[in-house]
Amino acid sequence: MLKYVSIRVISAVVTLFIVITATFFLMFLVPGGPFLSERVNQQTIDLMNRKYGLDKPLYVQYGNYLKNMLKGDLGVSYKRRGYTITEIILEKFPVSARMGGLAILTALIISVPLGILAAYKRNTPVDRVIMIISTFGMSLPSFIISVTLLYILGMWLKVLPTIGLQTPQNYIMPVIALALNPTCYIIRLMRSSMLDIQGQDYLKTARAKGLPEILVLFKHALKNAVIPVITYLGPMTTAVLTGSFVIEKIFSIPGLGKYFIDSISGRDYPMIMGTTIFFAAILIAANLIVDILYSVMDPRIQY
Amino acid sequence: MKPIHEREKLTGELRIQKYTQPMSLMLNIEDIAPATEDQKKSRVKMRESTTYWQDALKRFSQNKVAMVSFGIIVLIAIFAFLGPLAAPYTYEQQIRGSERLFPCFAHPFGTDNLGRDILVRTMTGTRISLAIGIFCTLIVLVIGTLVGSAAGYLGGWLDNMIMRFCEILYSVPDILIIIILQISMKRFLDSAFPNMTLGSAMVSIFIAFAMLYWVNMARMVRGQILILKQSEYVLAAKALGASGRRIIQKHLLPNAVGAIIVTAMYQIPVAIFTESFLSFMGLGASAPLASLGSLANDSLSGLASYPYLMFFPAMLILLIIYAFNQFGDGLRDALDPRLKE
Repeated sequence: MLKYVSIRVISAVVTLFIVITATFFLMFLVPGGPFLSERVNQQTIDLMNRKYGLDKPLYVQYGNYLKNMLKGDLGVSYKRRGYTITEIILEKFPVSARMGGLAILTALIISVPLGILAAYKRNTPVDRVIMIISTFGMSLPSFIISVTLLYILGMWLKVLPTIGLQTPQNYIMPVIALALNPTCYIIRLMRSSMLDIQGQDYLKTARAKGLPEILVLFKHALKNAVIPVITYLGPMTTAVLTGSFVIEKIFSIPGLGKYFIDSISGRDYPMIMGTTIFFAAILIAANLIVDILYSVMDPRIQY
Repeated sequence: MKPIHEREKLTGELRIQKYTQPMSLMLNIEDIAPATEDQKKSRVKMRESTTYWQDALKRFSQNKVAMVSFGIIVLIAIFAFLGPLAAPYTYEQQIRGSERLFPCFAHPFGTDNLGRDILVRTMTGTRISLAIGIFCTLIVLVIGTLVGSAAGYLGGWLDNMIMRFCEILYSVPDILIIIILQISMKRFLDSAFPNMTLGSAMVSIFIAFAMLYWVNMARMVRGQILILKQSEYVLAAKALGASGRRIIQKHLLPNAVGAIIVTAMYQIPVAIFTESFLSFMGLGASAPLASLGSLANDSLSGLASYPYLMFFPAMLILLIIYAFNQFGDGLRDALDPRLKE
């Protein structure tokens, strides 16, 4: 167990290191340099290059970048003068994290009971309706969901505010838009895993000794049926995070996803790099945690 | 020569004989006599044998959802590739005096704030989406199959390296990798080829997809080949001195072809979705060129007043992705029934 965890931690660190290296060289190996689009003379460009250490050989820059990153310093933003990238991330990320966290919670709270319900009511109209809706909802692109919600609830019926995150009502539409795809996916996952374990001996035993169905479900079935959902938590974090790029744009939410997209159009290369590495680190960490959680939850797995 | 138990079935006369006679006298002459006409006739099969493809076609045509999706895809393709030829306007033509028209007879999807016909722009956008889909399939088929079969067949350090590489690509989301690749390539393309019709952002999306999307296929092909490699017919081919290339081409890939086609088909909606996602964020097609994502993006700011500008592109994205997903499911059930859920 300890060996497995340490191997997973080491491989996550190696992956992150490779991502950092690849990002660094992809952003710096290309011709032109970051100040190509600025309409200034060569002298100014040289000055700016010296200021940001871009006149040094590439390996020195790479070494410096790694050294600074260990100290938590991701460099300075070219566009938002006077702010370090770490400061910007610390300012913007909590907004995205709160919204994403709410979306993940909502998805779990809605989908797990619905999945169980569909499994218990197998092949009845209830099950069919749930399955049809979830199959369709799974393939709806998140930006189409949010635009539809925005138009119907925000502009046509005018029941919800459309911009920003000032009041609790503001969270409703972005959270629904972010949570819909994962919800539909988990419903199907939960249903099929509930059906899978129905034939298991320990459930037959539990029922045979006369336990009420509610206890069978909570004490015996749920613990095992929920394991596939745990493994999906990693991909779900990815989906919510990439979904936030477009949803923050649509609902004008000042989070890191929107800032990331804006810095791409604004060609703020250190910001793009810093954010990419930050996102990658979060997702690699999330997958690591899920993997470890999975091995704790399912003692049948031997390492 | 048939093995003994089959000959027994054929003649029904073979008896176990005791070793009381010399070997030459133990031989029953009827066992090795040529079959008579009657016996040959009884071996003729009852029905024409069907090939794998005939079987798959039959299974596919019985699947109504898949057939309807296929029909929708064909209609969308006609809409996208033949539509612009029949239309009286081009996608970049600004018609003076007919700005911001509600859908009417002359402009069934309406016009935008510059007086451009949305129907034609949607057709062009759909064409880009389908082109992305076709291009990705080809890339995935060629690179993915080559890399996957090399990794699976040769094994060893090459396999190890390729699979580690795939794992790293897997642990970071596609969108992030594509964005980073796109930014670095866009700068290169801008300086190397300043005037491209598609625009450097679009071309770099194509290249980024090509660099990324073979991974799925390579993993799948490798897995299939690792299984198929154990088969007796591969051993027989090796014993006959066939080269590795010949074994892969003649024995391994044909047996994995169903799974290969299905994997490639599933990659299409993913690619089309990712392109529209990027264009929607303003990272893809740039004016005057339109893709479905950029059309939706353009109409976002005027959504309250001109919702129809959003409706048509969004519906087409939805329809394309849904049809390709259902078509992929149908193909999976037809070509590779083992994969069915």
